[in-house]
Amino acid sequence: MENNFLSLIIFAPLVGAVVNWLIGRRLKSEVFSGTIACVSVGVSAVVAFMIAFGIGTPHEGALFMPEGKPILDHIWTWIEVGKFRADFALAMDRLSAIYALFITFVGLLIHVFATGYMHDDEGYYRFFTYMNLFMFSMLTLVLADNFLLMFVGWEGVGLCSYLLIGYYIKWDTARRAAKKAFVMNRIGDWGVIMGVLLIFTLTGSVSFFDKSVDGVTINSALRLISQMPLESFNLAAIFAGGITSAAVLLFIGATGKSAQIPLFTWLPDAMAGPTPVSALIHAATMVTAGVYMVVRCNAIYQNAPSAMMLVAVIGCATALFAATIGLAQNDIKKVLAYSTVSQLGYMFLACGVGAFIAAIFHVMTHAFFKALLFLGSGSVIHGMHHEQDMRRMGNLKKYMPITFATMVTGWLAIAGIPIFSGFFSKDEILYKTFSASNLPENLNYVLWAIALFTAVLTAVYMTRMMVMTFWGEERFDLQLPEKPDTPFDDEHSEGHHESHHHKPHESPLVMTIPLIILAFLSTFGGLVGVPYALSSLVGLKDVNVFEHVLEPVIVKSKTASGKTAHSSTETHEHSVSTKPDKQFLHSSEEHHSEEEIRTERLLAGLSVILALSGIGIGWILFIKNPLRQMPKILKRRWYVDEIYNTLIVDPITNFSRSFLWKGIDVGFVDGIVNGAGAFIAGLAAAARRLQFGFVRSYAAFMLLGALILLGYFIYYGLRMLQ
Amino acid sequence: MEPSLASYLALSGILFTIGAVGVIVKRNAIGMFMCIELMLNAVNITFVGFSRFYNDSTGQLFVFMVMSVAAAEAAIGLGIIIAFFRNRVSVDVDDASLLKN
Repeated sequence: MENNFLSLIIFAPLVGAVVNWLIGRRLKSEVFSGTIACVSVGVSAVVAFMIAFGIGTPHEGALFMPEGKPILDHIWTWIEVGKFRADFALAMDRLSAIYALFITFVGLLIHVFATGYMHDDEGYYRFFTYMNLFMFSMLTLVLADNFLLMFVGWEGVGLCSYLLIGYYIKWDTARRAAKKAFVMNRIGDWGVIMGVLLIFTLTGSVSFFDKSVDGVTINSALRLISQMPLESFNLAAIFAGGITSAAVLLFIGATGKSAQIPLFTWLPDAMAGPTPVSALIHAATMVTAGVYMVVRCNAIYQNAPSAMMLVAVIGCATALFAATIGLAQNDIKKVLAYSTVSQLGYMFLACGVGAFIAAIFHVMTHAFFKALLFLGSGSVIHGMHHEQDMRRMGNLKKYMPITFATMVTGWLAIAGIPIFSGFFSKDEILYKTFSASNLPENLNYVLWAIALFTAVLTAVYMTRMMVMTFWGEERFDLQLPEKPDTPFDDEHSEGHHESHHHKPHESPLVMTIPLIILAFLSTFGGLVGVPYALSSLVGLKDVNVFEHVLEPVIVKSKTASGKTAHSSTETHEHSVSTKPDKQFLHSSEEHHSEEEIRTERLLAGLSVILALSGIGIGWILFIKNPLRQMPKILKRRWYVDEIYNTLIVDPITNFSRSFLWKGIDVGFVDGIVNGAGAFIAGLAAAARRLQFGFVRSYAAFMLLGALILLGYFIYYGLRMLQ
Repeated sequence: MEPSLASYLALSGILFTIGAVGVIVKRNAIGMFMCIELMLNAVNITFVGFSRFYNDSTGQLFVFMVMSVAAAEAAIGLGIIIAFFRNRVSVDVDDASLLKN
């Protein structure tokens, strides 16, 4: 199914970026730049909604296309060399539709918010140029119909992330953070490109979908891989160069982009960018690109059990690790940053246990509530005149009632209180982890226990953040032991930080209205994916719309029938049964056994109790003593940055300085260049002595030369005659 | 009786040597110039001699070429010498040392 309006979704923000860059920079008008940016994102949001839901289009909406077939838009043939073919073509299937919807919608709200937040900033037009460019890249990433174009978007969002983290270019911390993010993402990008190349060698295709362009049939790489036999579960498979290797390589890319162990340290530093950037890029959209890629490639992961286990373990470890760090941060944005890393860990845990739909569900609800929390923190920072340290806040509910009320919904959503969106998605992940069948003996229970403990920690650190910010006594004049590190020092040089002349104030309407909309979504957005076990409690039959929409995207797991699926005959049977139509039929006939429902309800109840107790613990610990000292090792983030610096960064720096620079560059390369010059100069100095300056001597030399030549000819002439 | 090829070559060799030695030992620019002409004409004699010996007109055509080059050279060379004389009131080539060092 073709729809040429699909390209409008990605090109509208690009046009916005170009207009702002070329015209906005001359006009220097905040109204102009802000309007262009918001309208261009608004256009892509409207088009995305129309195509996804099939409003006013000749075909059904992308969310409801039978068998999850994509809506295609072939823009041009990009590369065609021998068997290799990559088009600049877009495709919106159910998965990309969900991504495109929340990216454009949350993106629009954040753009509107930013028009208020960035008020009076001299780089206003630049900010919105980058933001629009980011929207273009991100939408290219999720709407690309092949790996290579997705990689273009992948690099594009990395670039925009770099530009926006380093937005305050005069501030050293921001520049360092931008560089760090860029380098760490490069490490991941290596994994992606190697993975894509490996997939091409395995299947001869880089396309996501089966389609035909101008009579040429293009096979889907993912379908071809899903038809291959399941790989064995062992460590050697990772290095064997098969499907498992491809899965692991792609996951390396995902750890870079989505800030998982070991490449997560850039994300907290990335908070040096403006707060709307943190909300849009480093919470709601870009960092979930890794999850998108893993879910898009679920056919690959389903065939690679070792890679699945790796994903689950890394995700779970990251969730716990980041949550413990988030417990001890004092910067409001750092708390949210570690919380984001932790929530991304949950998403990968879900992918690793085969609950791809739950992962996407959590991506969506997380986009709502984390964007809300970040924008709320932005509103707080704005109202506090660029104060980010929670130790100098307190009792803000009195001054900022709207921000407070909306932040409360975000807080309850992330903590996992029922009805709020985060509860359903997180609970789904916990239950799917508990009941996972693709992991070795009892590992799923270990992961589930860790994830549950992390859920408690999440509730505790979010409560701590809320209590320090909105409750307790006002600590605006508190002296901090260390100097605050912000880009706004010079603007507030009149001793503003020592004694606040201004009281905190509520933010303007352009900032609070996006907050209210996001609060609404954070509260009710989870209701699209209520699992049967819970909806049947209130007498509703099957209202898990989200899962049914996404089902065709997910290849049926070969391990689902139990751990015995490794025997070759059974694998063969299953690989036959993965034809899309059968799979679709199968999923709609899904039955709910009594026992499973009981377990799921039990676990949901348990996690609610734990979430409430987490909030209770946080409340008791911090309401009386919000400045409670946290363990030093958590404050110092388990010394990960220090370890990386000592083990990797410093040796590379030293090696570069003493060997590559002083040895290779100065010694060898410069040595060759300078040596060649010096050699010629020496030769010339010697040759200059032949130039006496007497014409007659030159004539004599010529004669001498002529005689030598003559002698040579005569000598050999005579020899030949003999 | 027609002179043999050897006598042409001998004459040519003698003239060329006189010319070459003259260019080397003379300091007078006009003298050197005349010696160069002498060498060119020595070569011309060789051309003509071989042309006759091989019964091939190419050598004689070449002589015309050499003569026209010599004429052009004379025009330019004398012009340079006169310009040089105006500047330095000398035709000694060793005085043409402005570019030295």
